[in-house]
Amino acid sequence: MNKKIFIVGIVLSTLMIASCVKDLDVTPKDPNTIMAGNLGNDPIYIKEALGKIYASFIISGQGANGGDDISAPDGNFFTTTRALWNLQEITTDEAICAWGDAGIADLNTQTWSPSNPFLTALYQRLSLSITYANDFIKLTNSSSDPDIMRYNAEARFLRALAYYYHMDLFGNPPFTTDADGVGKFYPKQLDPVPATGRIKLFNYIVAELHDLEDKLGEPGSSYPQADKGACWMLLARVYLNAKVYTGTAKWDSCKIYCDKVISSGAYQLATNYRKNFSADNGYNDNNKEMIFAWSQDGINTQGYVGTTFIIESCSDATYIRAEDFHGLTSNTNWNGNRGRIQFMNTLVDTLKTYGNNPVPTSDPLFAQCADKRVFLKMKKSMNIPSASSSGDYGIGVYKFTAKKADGTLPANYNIAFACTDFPIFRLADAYLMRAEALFNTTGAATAVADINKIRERAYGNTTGNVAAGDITTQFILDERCREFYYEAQRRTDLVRFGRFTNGSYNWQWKGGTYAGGNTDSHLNLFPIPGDEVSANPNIKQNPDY
Amino acid sequence: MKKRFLTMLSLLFLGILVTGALNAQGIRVTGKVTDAADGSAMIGVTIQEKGTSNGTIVDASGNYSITVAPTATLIFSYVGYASQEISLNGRTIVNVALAVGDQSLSEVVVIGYGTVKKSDATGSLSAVSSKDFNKGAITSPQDLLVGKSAGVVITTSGGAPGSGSTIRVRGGSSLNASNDPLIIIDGVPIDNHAVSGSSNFLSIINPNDIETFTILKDASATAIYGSRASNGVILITTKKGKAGSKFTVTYNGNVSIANAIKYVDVYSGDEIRQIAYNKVSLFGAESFTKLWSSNTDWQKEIFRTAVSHDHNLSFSGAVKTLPYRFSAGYTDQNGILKNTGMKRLTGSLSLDPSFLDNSLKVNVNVKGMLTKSNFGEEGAIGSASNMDPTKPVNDVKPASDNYFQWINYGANLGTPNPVEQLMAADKKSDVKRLIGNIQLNYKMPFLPDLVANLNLATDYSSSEGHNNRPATSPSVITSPLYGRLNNYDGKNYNNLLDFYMTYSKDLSQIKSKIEATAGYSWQHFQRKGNNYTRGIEDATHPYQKSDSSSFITENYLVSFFGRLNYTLNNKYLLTVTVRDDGSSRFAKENRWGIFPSVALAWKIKDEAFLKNLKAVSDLKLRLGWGVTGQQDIGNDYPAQAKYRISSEGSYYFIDGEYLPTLRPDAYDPDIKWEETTTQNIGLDFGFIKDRITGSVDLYKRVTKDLLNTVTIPSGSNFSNTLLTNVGSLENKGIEFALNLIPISKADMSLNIGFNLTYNKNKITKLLLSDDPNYIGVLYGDAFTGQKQVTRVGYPAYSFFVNKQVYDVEGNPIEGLYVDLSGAGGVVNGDNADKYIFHNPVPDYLMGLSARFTYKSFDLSASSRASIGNYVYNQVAAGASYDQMYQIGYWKNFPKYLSETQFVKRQFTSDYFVYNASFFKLDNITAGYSFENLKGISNARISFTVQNALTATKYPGIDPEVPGGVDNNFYPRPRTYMLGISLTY
Repeated sequence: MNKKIFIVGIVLSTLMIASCVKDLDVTPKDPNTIMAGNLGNDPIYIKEALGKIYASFIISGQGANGGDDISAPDGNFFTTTRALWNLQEITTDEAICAWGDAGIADLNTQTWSPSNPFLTALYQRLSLSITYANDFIKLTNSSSDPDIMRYNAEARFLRALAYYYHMDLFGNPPFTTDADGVGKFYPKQLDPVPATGRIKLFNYIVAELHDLEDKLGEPGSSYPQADKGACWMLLARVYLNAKVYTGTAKWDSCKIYCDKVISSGAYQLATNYRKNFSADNGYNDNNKEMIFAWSQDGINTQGYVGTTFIIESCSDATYIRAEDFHGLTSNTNWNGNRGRIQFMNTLVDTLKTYGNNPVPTSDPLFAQCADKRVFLKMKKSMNIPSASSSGDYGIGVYKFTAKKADGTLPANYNIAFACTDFPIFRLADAYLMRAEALFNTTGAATAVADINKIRERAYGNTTGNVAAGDITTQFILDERCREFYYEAQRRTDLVRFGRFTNGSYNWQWKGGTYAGGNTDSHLNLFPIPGDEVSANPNIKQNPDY
Repeated sequence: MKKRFLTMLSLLFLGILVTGALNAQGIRVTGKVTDAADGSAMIGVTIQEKGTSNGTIVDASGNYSITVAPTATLIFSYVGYASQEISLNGRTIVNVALAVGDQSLSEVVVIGYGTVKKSDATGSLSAVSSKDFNKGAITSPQDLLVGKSAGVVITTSGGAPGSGSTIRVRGGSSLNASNDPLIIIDGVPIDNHAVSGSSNFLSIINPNDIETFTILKDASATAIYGSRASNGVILITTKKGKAGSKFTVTYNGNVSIANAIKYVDVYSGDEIRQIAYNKVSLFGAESFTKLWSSNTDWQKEIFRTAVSHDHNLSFSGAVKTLPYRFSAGYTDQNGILKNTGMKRLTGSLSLDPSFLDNSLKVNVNVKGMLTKSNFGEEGAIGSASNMDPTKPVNDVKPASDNYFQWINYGANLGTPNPVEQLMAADKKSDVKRLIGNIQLNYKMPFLPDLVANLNLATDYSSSEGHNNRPATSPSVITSPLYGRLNNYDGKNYNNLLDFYMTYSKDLSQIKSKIEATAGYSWQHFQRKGNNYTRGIEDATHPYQKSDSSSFITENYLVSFFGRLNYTLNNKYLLTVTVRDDGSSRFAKENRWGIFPSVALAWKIKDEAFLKNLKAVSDLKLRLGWGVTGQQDIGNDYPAQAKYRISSEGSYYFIDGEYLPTLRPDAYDPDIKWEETTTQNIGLDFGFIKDRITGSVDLYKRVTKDLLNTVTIPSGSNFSNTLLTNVGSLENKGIEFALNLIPISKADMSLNIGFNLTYNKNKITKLLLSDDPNYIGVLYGDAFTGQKQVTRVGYPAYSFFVNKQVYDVEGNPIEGLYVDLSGAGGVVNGDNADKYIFHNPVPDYLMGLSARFTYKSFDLSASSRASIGNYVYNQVAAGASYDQMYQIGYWKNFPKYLSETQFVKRQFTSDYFVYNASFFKLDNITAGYSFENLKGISNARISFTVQNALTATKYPGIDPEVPGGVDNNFYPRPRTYMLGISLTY
């Protein structure tokens, strides 16, 4: 009997061992996980994968289910739009941030280094959006389904947009396309010489966008997804800055694409400027000015990111209470960002408004200002006494809001998160880009109509209109500031006009001094992050970093 | 698979039932056991029939009686005395005199898949048995071991009831993978991942049920566990019934009182008012109006004196050939932080029957646990040192449930009222766990040298918990929700099958002994859980979103292993082990790993030249080499390409509807084992009849293919970092253990144990590419800066800070640092100007314990010293004047501020990195035993002070800081305990 048990045991054990080795072939059981090979199983997966590329520009990741897309010291701080906003705004006259977090002070005073966490995160996130897009493009390249072909074109647009930001901020990023795989390898720049790499990237983006033009949806057909209008706007923006990127201006090309947008008939300026920065600012919320934006929603697309970040970081408990101004009541009033005095002087024509007097403290909201784009409030003092002064000093800004344009709360209202979309391209930009292109080619007289179109909306009538003789280079730069402040465009504009570095225009605390001082022109480009240079031996650093 | 497992299990039980009736015939042997020194009767001596589990214990008058086979050999053993083996040779009366000494050599210790006589062990291992355990109100098994073994560092995570500890054996061999040792309870390797809601994965075991811990330290001892052995192995053996023993009931109980040792030294209300006056230029006169008149000591408001009690009852004995032990324990532990506590019920049952003339031994263990935890809200500890002391606890304000709160709930500058934060927290969990296993040990009837072992085990835990807050809590706590309703649950399953055969043979003709073991092991781990959070909904607060997530994850380990022990001339010992491990975590090509080891031991004492030297009682040299692996990397599917669906709130608007997004996750298809090669030289010694015993070990451990989460080239994968095999690190160290018995008399004894550990950790490679300028992996957050780094050439997690400049009086000058980069300009918190300044791990650790007995009185103490551990004092670094008053909100800070006088916080200054070397008297116990009290065979009362004394220069609350960053953790209390133990 014992022998039998023994033999049975041996036989059983052998069987078990054979089958148990097979146990090692596991696939995830989690219903929230889909194996890469199974993405074709349900048509909705393709839409959801496309949605990820969009979402990667605005929110931090997958929420409770998978967390942030990148590892960084804080999920919300280091999202694309938030980091982009910091790099484009607090490095300029428009904004300065009072927080003591690592990296903020360096941006405030143009003294950053390659280890700055904001530029590191932005660089990594832009590349990550490109990698998501590459993956999606590869997956959908062979599809003949018209919807999927359109999604494929949208993914290519988003990739081109990410490369545009890369080109604008960092110049010469590592270059990958859907032909590259995923794993452990060292992507290369388009050219090891930074300036040449930037030109090659410019050519790639332009070629890619030209190819996409007809593959995207009709203007206004699929907001907040990218359509032809978004593609034209990006082309116009790239051409607008062509001289910066390549050394050769492309004003004519810029104008062509502005024309396409304006004449498409799909867009019109909102009567109320504020509509663009309110909870109902989307094209699908009856705002035909919004061409392309990152969608945000109080319930569905949340985070201390994008417009929520702008609203809260510009609010404080004394002067601009988010509870009163914006309808947000949870974890509010971060008291960080506000404007510098030079910015106020650009926005508010103090001479015309207040005469030859100091700005009266009796008008803290600049209500007497005829330009209705001024959403500013005086704080403790308009000058900022120290580079690290609290947010109570400086010029408060409340342009973005979580309320609707009529002051009511939106349907998907949330106590902590705004429903306001973050604008990337507004029709107003098409007019001002075209004006600038015309000014630089055929002269001020040809630009004046487009500029007055914008100013009429700003003033509500023609009292703010200008004559051709008023239009100078400085005027165009200032008008863009008045129209697009806090929309993450300022640094790009200042660089294009040669005012960002090198002392031609200084503002409070630029370079770390009260009056503002010279900074070196190599700062017109951000450095490639130190983390990237260490991780990828193929990457060449930008000059003088 | 599961089905097959169950079928097998039921077949085996059936077999046991069928054969259970069989039993052997025997004779009755009686006698008396005396002490060789003075002829007095010895009580409690264990008598065992050799080769069986049959046995008994000598009664109170020194007599015994046992029924055994006529040809049996009896083994008489008693702690501290040399065991004797006596063949009956037909006798029925056997009187024995036992002499002191030699016990450590005949001790049998548990090792992987078997046991070994301690004198024959070739690897580096240490055994700690119940008599050496730390005393006191101990609810976590880890705490029994603190300071007791060289090379083993146990750091409790704080003073929260039932909280866990981290255990490090010889430093960590990994960076990102787990550094926890493999823990095996009665043959069941358990999952180190606690189910959600459980703060300690070892809480299943009642410390009162533990007989011994065996810690396997070097690779030659651990490599038989292959891929899970890189960080050492701790084998826990629980108490069992003894064959032939009479029915015994034991009760252990204690009542303890705990309180906080010290509080963070913060300003009082009066002092804050004084500061406001002195600093009016900074804060402005308007700040005065925001100060109230109270003098609230917020820390006193949240802490309390906590009374706890603990009861354990065990029954043991033997019914015929069935030794058994059953125990039940109940613990009601209250935390010194109000609204925290733990109630735990544990039960354990062990049955060790033998069948078929003792050729089939069965060992059944069942352990169960129910724990109810109340976690309170530990965030209140930090709030209590920051809350404005001029404010009262209560205020007539229904909106905040009559607690004082700042008017504007929204501003995150206002410190939440700590009392509300703590008392309104509803954060509780219920955890259940069951571990059961059956081990069969079958001696082959046709080949008695061959023994087969089968071990089937299951480990199941489930939990339910919630973390709620009322709508009256401030939004700074509940944000982004209005109030909070949270529920979670979790379930872990872990099933095991081990099968191995051992063949042992004495080859006396060539003076050799061999023992060969070969086996197979299968283990499955599955964890799942759900978490659901939403806000409170009412008329003004509609549905906001639910943060719901769920997961299910599993992995398998399949292994083949073997061991060969060869002994020549009883002096030269060789052990060779090999394990072939397969893990489901890796892709097919990388799945299998072979982990070999070799060890040699030379019992020098048995050589002719030492044999007659009386002064030396033991001398053994050990040499070991082995390779172990690591696959516990937190992610069960790191090599697979997969997409993840986002949770609610992270949707995007696509084609007219909000859809979740699908994200491709970063993965490394080539990820594989981390491999650690250990070399070890050890010397065991004993002098003067083992009155002095000890061991010295030198080791070097090199980990290659180190799994590290590194920054990867942008554009190469689906994140900015990836867990991949890139680095290497090494640990070198010395361990020294010494045991002294200065006094060993019949009515008086003194035992002293000392151990010393030195370990040096160094990173030798970190990146895919080798960039000499690579700054390393930085740790920290956006708000307080990055202050720790893991860099090539330095210990992991070194502090990375700016070098503070001091004025002539030695005070730090705010914001002035040495320009280490030489770049000039303002030296701010930028990484280029930082340097590496010490690290949190001690260079030397010492443990010293002593036990003294005099007649019925006993006194024991254990203490530790840690030298060269540094702590970053974030409590001090967070203090600055500009934070003290901001736009209407006052805050309190520790009085470090009076020393630094910093207006702005200087998180990256090396000023805040302190040498936190310490000496701790962990516990001191006095006890008195009574014998033969009215039917009670033994009674003992004891008084213990736990956490009795700490000597350190570190100015914070406690120099022993998990992770090295002191940021207001739950303080470890001082506990006074009265214990009673009764045996019937």
